[in-house]
Amino acid sequence: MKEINAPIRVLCVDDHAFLAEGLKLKISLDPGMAWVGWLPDAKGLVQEVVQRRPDVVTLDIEMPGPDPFEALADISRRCPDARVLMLSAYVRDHYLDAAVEAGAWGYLSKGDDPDEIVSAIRRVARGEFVLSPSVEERCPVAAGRPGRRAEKPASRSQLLTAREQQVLRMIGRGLSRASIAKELFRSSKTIDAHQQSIMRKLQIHDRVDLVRYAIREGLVEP
Amino acid sequence: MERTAGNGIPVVLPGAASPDEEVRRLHEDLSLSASKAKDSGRALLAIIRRLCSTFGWCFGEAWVPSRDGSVLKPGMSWPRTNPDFREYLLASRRLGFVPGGGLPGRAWSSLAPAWVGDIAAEEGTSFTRRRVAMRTGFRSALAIPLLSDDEAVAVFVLYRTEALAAEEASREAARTMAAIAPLGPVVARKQVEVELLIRERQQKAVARLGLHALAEGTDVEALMLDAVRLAASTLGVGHCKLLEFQPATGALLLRAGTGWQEGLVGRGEVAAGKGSQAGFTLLHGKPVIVQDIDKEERFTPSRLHRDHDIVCGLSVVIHGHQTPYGVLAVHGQQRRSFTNDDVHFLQAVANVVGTALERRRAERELETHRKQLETLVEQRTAQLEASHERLRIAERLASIGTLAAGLGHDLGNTILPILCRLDVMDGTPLSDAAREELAAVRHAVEYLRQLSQGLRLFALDPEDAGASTAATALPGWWATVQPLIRNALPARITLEADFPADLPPVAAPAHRLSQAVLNLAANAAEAIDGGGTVRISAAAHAEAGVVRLRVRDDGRGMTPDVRRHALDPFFTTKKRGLSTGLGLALVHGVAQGCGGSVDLDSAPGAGTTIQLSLPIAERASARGRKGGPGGEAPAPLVAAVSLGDPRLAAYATLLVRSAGLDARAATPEEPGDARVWIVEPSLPALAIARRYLDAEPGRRVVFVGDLPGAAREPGFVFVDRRGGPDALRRSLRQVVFQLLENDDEGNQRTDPRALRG
Repeated sequence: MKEINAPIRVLCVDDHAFLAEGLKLKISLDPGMAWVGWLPDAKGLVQEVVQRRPDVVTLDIEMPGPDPFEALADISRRCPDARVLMLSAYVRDHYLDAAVEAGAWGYLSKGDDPDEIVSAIRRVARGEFVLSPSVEERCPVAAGRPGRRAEKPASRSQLLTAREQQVLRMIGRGLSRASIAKELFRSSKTIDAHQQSIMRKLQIHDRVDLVRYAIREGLVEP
Repeated sequence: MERTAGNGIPVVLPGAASPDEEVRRLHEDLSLSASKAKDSGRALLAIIRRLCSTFGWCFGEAWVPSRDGSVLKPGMSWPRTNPDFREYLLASRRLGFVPGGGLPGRAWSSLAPAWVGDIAAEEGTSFTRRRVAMRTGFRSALAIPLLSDDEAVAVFVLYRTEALAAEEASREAARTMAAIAPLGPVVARKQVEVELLIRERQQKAVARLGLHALAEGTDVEALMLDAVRLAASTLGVGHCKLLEFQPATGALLLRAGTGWQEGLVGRGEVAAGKGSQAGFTLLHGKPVIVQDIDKEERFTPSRLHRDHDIVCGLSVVIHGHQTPYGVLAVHGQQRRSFTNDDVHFLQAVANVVGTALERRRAERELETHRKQLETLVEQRTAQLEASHERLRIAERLASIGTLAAGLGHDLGNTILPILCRLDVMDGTPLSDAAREELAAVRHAVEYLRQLSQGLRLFALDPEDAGASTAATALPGWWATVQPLIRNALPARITLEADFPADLPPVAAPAHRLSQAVLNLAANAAEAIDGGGTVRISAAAHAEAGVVRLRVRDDGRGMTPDVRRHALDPFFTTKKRGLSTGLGLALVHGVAQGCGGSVDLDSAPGAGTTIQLSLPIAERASARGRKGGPGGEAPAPLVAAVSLGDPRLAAYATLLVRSAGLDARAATPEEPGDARVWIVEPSLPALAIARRYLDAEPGRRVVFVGDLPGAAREPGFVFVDRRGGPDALRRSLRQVVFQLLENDDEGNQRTDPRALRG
């Protein structure tokens, strides 16, 4: 049970140490917040969350190592008290949807003002769902009258399961089958089966085209 | 050996008695003359001459069986030039004798001599030319068949001016028969030679015509003329015509011909069907032979035939592609028969012509197909080239986008910590000078931050459809892209901008707007020689539902021709390599993509103004709704959120608020007086929801999740949670808009100002 007026414990997951250090300094200025640590990737994140008990985790997306959305889903299941706030330089519909789906409490852009970030952490800790203005401008949640204009055609990538999307993102990042298997703690055969299923659903017959597709769909940054 | 003469009188035939010396010499002479003769006609002439001179006949003629063996035709006669016999000659020319008909016919059918001892005493048809013979002075005539293998190859008729007693006639007949007996095979051979010659000539003619037809670039008109001339000369007739069937009129047009009055070819027509020989030929699809037009009953002779005194004819069908092309026909002014060889020959000529016509048709068809194919290939090549060009440009843009995205990302990762550290330093005791330095650094970093955001706006695929629901607030957007656009312009150019703070958002994605305006600004600067100003401004035109964004320069302006093509893709006035020619087309695409338009105003020397009309985004904003009659804003719509999952509740609250409604938390038992209730489905919630809807019209309940068996009742919306965040977003949007539209309609009905207006 969290103490009333206890500082908000913040854990940062970002591969840029310089950024994490800056954020740490900024958060340290706020007496209502406490910096509990920094991780360069999502490896072992759940264990770290269990140990360090953060209230808010700021989670980058484009990082080496395990898929951050998978880690996010794990935290949502196993550590529901820790609220994850995505903090990425990339603002994409796909990322936002994947984050909401996996259990994020908000989405911030690294282009946001540091004060906005601190404020967002506070609001999330309070139980609000937060999208920074730059995110909402880019991925509007309510703009445009429905039915007046053609709805955005459903992407074929929506046919993929969460695991398949994860594998596709990793393929898009150029990871080999063995690397993906290692990161996901699965056998290469299983990864092969996922890849076959993805190709069938997307009607793509070539791994290079799969990478292209992933990039085009914004599943992974080029 | 004895044979009965055509008159029924017994005749002693050669071989029954030994020829005397005179006859033997005659034999030798006749055999020599006949053998030396060039053809059967000349051989017959030689025989007639010798018979007349030796046996005292004043006039002699030869009758030859037609090639089909149906009639005896006039052959040679002697003497030919004696005017005394002219009338008789002329009378004989159009005659023909069937077997047993007239004196020659009797000798022909009986294969034995026949005679008329006194022409004057003859009656009826036994001597056809009796009157003219009498006028000529003939009194008696003897007909002798020339035999070969028991067939008559010719019948000689010899005339005297005195009557001939039966005994004398019999003797003369025997003597003459004996004299010419060995000549039959010689003449028959000559006749065969002639026939072979004729056939050879016909074959050569067809071969020559075939070569003509096969020659490269054959003119079909010339070939037709060649064909009719060849057919006429080979068959020995004066007239030949080639007729083309005219489906439109049903008539046959004289396309080529020989022997006809001048001016008829190309214009003259004959009737189809039974109205002409050609029509009849086409009707039956078989060759038609006419020996004597006067006796013709199968069809009515055409006027063309009557005008040209046509008597005989042979016509065949010219076969064409699927339907007959027309008819080829030869005609003579005298009675004559046509053999099977003649028919075959004329059909062969018609076939050559038909084949040539078919070849021309096929060639034309092929040419048409070839042209179509060439056009198609050209079009496809152009499409492919355009497609390649677009792909190349798209790849270039994509690589620029990738670079911009990477740069923006790295800048973001760097700027945020710098700003954090600046915030930290702000809180530390520093000298004024240091603070000034710090402020300068912050200023520079802020600029970098805007630049990084601007770069990221350019990073996305311009074809990205994701922003179809986008709304961009222009003042904020301009603040972001202004540094980037400023940097894109040369220093000699002043950039002025006017974006009023109260501009409504436009329904265009920010990044595409950035691409469009950067292009326009760069073009504007390029159009200015030396120093000048580029003005970018925006103004709302609520009545038209648009915001007009103008980019104006005071540069060279465009000529009418350039202005006309300015929006065409790949059109550029700049040097290739400096420009893709896509700039204005891309702007056009951006405007069209969001339902807007582009207008261009330019004149040489007067600068250029390009105006983007961008639709105002119809953002659902309960807070921004029109005021009521009293001018006061109506109370915002409220949504009650009763979701057990706090994160889902928070997300739903965010969605509701971003749609312009107020959101408040409510228990699953008591939604209160909100217009929308967002709740997880359960049987108790269903019951409460019914009461909630009944309490006030116009309410909605959004069930987040499914409840098996729950009826889809009016006012209920079920969100399939398997659809992810998008499903909830769509459902909430749908509900909010329905409510807003209902309210708008209600306001219009009750607004007294609207009624007065």
